[in-house]
Amino acid sequence: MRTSLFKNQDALAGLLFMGLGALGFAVALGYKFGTTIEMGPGYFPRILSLVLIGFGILTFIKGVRSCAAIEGGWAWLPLALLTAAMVLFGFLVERLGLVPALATLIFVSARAGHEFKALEVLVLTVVLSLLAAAVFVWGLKLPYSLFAWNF
Amino acid sequence: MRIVYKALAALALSALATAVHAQQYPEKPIRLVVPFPPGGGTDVVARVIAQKLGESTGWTLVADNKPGSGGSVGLSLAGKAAPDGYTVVLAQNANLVINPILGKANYDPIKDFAPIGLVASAPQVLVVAKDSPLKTVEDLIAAAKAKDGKLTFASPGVGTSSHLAGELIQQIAGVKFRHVPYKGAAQALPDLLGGRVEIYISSVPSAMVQIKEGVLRPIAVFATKRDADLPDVPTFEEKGLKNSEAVTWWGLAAPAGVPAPIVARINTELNKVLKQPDTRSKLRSAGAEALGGSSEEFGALIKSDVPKWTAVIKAADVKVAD
Amino acid sequence: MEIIDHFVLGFGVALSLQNLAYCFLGVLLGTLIGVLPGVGPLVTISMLLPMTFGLPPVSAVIMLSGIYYGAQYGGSTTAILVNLPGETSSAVTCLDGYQMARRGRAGAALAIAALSSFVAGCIGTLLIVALGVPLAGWALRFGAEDYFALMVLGLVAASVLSHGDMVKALAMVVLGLLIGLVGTDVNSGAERYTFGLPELADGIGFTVLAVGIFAISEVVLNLEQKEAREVFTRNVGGLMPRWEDLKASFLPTLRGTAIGSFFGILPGTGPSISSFSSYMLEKKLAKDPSRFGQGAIEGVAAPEAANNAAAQTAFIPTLTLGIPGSATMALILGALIMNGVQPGPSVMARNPELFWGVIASMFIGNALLVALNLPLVGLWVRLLSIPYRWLFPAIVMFCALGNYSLNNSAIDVYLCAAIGVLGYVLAKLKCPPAPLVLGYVLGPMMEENVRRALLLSEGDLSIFVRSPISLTFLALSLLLLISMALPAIRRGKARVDQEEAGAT
Repeated sequence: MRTSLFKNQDALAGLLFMGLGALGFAVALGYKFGTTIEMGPGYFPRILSLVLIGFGILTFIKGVRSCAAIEGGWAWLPLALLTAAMVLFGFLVERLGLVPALATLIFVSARAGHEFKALEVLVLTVVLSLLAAAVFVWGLKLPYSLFAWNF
Repeated sequence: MRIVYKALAALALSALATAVHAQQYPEKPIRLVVPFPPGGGTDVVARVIAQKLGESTGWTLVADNKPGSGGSVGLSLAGKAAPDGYTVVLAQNANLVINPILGKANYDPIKDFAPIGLVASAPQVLVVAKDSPLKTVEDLIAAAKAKDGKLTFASPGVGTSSHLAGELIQQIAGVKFRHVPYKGAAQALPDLLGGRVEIYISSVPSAMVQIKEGVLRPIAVFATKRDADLPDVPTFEEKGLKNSEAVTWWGLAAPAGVPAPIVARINTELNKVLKQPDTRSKLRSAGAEALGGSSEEFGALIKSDVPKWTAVIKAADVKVAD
Repeated sequence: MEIIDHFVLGFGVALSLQNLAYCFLGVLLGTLIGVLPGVGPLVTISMLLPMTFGLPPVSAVIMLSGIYYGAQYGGSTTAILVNLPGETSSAVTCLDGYQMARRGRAGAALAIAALSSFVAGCIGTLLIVALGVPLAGWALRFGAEDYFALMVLGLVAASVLSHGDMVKALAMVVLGLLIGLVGTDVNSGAERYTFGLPELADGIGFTVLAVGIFAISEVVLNLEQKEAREVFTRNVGGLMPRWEDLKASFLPTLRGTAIGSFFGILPGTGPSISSFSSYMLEKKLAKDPSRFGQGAIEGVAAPEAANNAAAQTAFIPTLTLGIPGSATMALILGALIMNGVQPGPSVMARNPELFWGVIASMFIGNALLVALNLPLVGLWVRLLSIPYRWLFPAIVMFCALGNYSLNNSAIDVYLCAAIGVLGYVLAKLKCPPAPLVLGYVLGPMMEENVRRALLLSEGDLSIFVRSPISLTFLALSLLLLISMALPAIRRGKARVDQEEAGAT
């Protein structure tokens, strides 16, 4: 039985390893290699990248031979929403303050769930913001403003 | 002519505004950027200063730890902040002066920062393990010459103040050590005590515990006068190695462009606080000697440190961007 | 018996009402702070440090060390409940603890974590008392070449972490090694893979990596199905471990304690290496290694024992030599100095009530932690009955906030999000995360030490076999390699034979 390359678990893993290895090697070309006795900063990165590419090739070949498919579908939308939620939090926390950043994070990430009830999420936001403020700002006295306007 | 009058009027008005501003200053909490994580030496100095300034003036100073890249992250952040007097940074020579020379930071110590005042300093000290045959500076120089570049010298990292102090003394004494960098004192000290490396350079406060316990033996300090905590330890200057001063200093700075009256105001309050015995003893227990002085003196120190360390780094060929 | 006098003195100090209260406060704060990812004992202790100035030194140190080892207890809680490692040391606990929770055994996992931590904590404290000084001297004999050989052994053992597909597990180790190289190269000072960002100069934080690779990717995996899926089984079994659980955990706990105590004394190796090592040992020793990663109770007991033992024995170099093994230890050392106590070898002679009081408080603190944590198990398990649609935004919040609080830097949050994406893709491609994290932990130490060893030996490669410690570790690595390769070769040969037979 043939599996399309895009569903082939090991072939994709092999490609990913090869890609990361190639990236690692290309960047490490800028670092001095040195010798085994006097290793430069580029020695380990370049060798490890090559080994990773090697393992990638092995994994790829295995994938082509075994044709094991990925189990289940990809959850691209939840992944994108959660990533966006974290990035937005990072972007907003120093600009608008902790509470707006948390509210954004919770609303965006809650969208990734199967059900989204605005009222529930609002209550969740209030509870979690209070908890975060109590622990981090009032308890640990970390210098975060709850609300801010820094643009 | 009218334009000139207008400009003059505007100038006068803005000067007045700044003066008023300085009088009302501060209207909100001042952020004190600490370019190191909580718990380290810089953090302790920062918290003492924040607390004491707060007590004596009623201001609120909020210590904001922004660690990373040997202080470059915090300094770079503070240098770019609005020059309104509400962001100040506790800089060290290692990050304000040395990191830019090493190419580890993208700010200019003179152009991007307004010096406020020197806070404290601590000299570097050269130490050996208690059972080392090296006892004096003379022993050290003789051993370095005899071993012909193979005397091993441990430092807490490439480009740290300790490493550069080591380079400085090699250049002045005309000897060569083999530099073995570590990741902080916690890794270097076991190797020193285990006899795998021969000498180590550290700031006085971070070696004080081991020196007092007799685990480490101090050979000499990198200062113009003896350290109050180590009165029996000579300076390299005394031993005829001139211009061998290498201290860690801490100073308050603000982003360039901060109104002069605000700088003057903070400097005045800082100097008052630094004269209090309690502040001095708190800094002392952290190993630092309280200093103080005008903002011009601090600026002059920065201006003289830049060429000094540039020369050392160039001569030793210390490179971090490779 | 001198030692009994010492203990009488110590318990006399530690059992005073005031010191008991500070001990309780310390371990309570430690547990709570350990539960949160990111915020660790370092931040907590430095925030509380100014408040301890007014206290007698012994009370201050009792409280601060309580925070330190209490955090090791708390760190396992979120690791078990939601695959979110609260402290660096509890990443390994995720592997089997979380699987136990999904099978309705969160209570047993949490209780075993607390009990094995207690045993390890007490044994670790006894070690400080009985063997502190000789052990500290012994740790000084570890040179760069020995550390390197130890890391090699760790990497060879890493293949044990794979579930079947060895090549992928090894690829993940190498990827972890590469991720570990991000940041400033210790030996040359060069910045690698930082892409010009000064925030990356100190490398990618352990919490950033572990939270991204374990917690974020797990949340996405759970949200994969269109219809609401039950993440946790409804029938939550007994809250407390059964008799057979205790029996199964007994030896792993002791072995974990031994391994943890060993690594705790070596400055700079850290609790994560000790928990990984004990996990790998248990899997290697197990009759049925395939249970690991599926909720094996030994996989919780051993690493939890290891990281707590390491946390205790880390006091040995601090107390006997005045050399702090970690930043947190440095802070406790600083607290001693600021409270007017000179730490170091002579502290026992000059300040016996402080030294023995703190030691005694560690026994009391560990007992308090069990008394505190066992009743909390019921509460934590009830958290799992919260609908997942409320739970997961809270998990994401703690991931983001915890990572932000590490350096007060948004870059860490962005990095964690990016690693979450990578972690999800790797999980879908059935690439195991544990070898990657192990590679990340071992890689930088391995590179640093091999280069330092060669620098100190002036390029003489024989240094690695001349040192008896290094030689032992390298020989062990070789033995392990052979023991793994032999069955694999035999199996491979059998398969080829089968294929040939099938072809005809």
